[in-house]
Amino acid sequence: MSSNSGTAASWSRTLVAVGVAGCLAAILTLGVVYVRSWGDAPQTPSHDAWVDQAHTSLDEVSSDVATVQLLLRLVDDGDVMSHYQRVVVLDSETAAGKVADHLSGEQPSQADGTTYADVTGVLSDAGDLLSSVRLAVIRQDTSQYQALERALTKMQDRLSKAEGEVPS
Amino acid sequence: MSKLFALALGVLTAIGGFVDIGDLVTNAQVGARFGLSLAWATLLGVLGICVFSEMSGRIAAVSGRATFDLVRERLGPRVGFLNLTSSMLVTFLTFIAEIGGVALSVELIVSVNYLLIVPWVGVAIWLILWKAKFSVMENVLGLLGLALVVFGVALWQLGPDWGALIHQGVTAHKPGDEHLSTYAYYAVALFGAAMTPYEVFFFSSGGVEDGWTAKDILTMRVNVLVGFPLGGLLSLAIAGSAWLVLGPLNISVDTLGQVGLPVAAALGKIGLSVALLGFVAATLGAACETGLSVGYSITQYFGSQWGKYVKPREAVAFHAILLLSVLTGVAFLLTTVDPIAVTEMSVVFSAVALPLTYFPILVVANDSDYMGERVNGRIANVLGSVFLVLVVVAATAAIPLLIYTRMGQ
Repeated sequence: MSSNSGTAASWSRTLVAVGVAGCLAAILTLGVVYVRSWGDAPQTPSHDAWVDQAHTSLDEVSSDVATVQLLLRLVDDGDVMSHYQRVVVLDSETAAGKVADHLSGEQPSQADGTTYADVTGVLSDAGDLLSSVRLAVIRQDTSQYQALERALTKMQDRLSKAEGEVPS
Repeated sequence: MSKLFALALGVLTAIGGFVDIGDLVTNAQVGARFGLSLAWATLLGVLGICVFSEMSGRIAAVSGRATFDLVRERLGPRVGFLNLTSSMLVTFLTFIAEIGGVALSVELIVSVNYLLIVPWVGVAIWLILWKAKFSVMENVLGLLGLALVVFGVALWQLGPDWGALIHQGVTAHKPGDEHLSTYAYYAVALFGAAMTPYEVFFFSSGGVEDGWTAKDILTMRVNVLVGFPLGGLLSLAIAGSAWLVLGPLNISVDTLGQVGLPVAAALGKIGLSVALLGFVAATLGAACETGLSVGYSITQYFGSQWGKYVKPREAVAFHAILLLSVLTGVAFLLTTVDPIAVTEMSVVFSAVALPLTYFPILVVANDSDYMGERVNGRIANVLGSVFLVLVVVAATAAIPLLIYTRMGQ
């Protein structure tokens, strides 16, 4: 009898423990689904918020361009395996694309219209350039690397210039 | 001789097992932006984890029982439940980050999208947790994690101005273009990354799994007081090499691939291959530890049988929770949530959960009913109290800083 009640108590503890774990897991999963549903609504930031976002976006894309520049330099020196190259360049391209999409999806105030066009334009060009680098890296088309490195350097200058032109 | 071997093995696995995805990403991020000016936060975190791991290891060795087992008994079910939920949620978030970290590491080796790798990582982790012996799992992954020493070699090879680097670390000089709030945010993140709650749960439960007794306290102390600080040096090497290679190019670290670039710059393909081995071993080891910690904490609280040292049929709840955790973690990652963002959140929320994790350990370690003559001495209590104040400050500041700096932007 006592053995039966001991087994029952043990199973009841087991069920409660698994139940609590299941509930916590469900809460977390629902949480992440909820958080991931943010961002679908159109954003209309104030002037200050938009300017702030423009600076952040230019910084982030500049970092992605610099990463790919460094990568190409290392590839030139034979320091990086081909699979690694692909992942780094693809990650940078994806990250830059997300930043550009996010900023261009915003609705700036009328006063920021010109800056909006300039910033989203340079971000889009940077994304295109990173796509070209990705194509060359995956094809192992080393003949293009030097030209791409030069293009990346120019793009860095454009990004810096664009950042300087966004009001602070 | 065998005692010496066990001591050396323990220290080496403590070093190799110290770094996880949170340390890799946070130290590279901070290193690229702040250099070694936040080294104090890492060192403080390492000292803190040494203090509390020593206490929880001593509790396990003296009482033969793990932390959660005693927290509920000593502080009652309500406080125990608060302790359980906060620590467990953070540990589970860390578990998800580690699974993602393994997948991202393998992606760098095979260049297959990490989302296709995640389910296989889940299967591998579950098999290790189900089948591998505790000591084999701990030692093999810990030793392979030592591959991350390559960051130290890379730092040396990059030939930094050591005087300037040390000066930056000692003076904690913040780069002029960074805000104080961002500096504070990353200080809290580094502190949280070093003092992740799962480390004490795993350490204390692992002690019970390994059958520690009071005779093992010296070995345990050597593991903690030598292994963890040396592991902390690895964190600083990651930050230092990121500062030298990524810092001058204004690269902000958002991917695991960027973390390895300084090693490639210093040591080429061979160094990068070793770093990749270290990434896989460190994240896989930490994934196993966090997965086990989730199972440990829940079953210990509810008084169910737990541990890898008992047969699965005798620890049904424990193994069911391990399986459920792996499945949920994999499902969570397959929502395409960014594993690096999960990692960043997990280190900040670690800081939030710290007081609820460490206060009960301090209470139990001071209870002579459990600890007998091994109760906390004056030094342990002073250090424990100082760190309790620090973790309360970090926990209070974490969320406001997260919001104000928009996750350190």
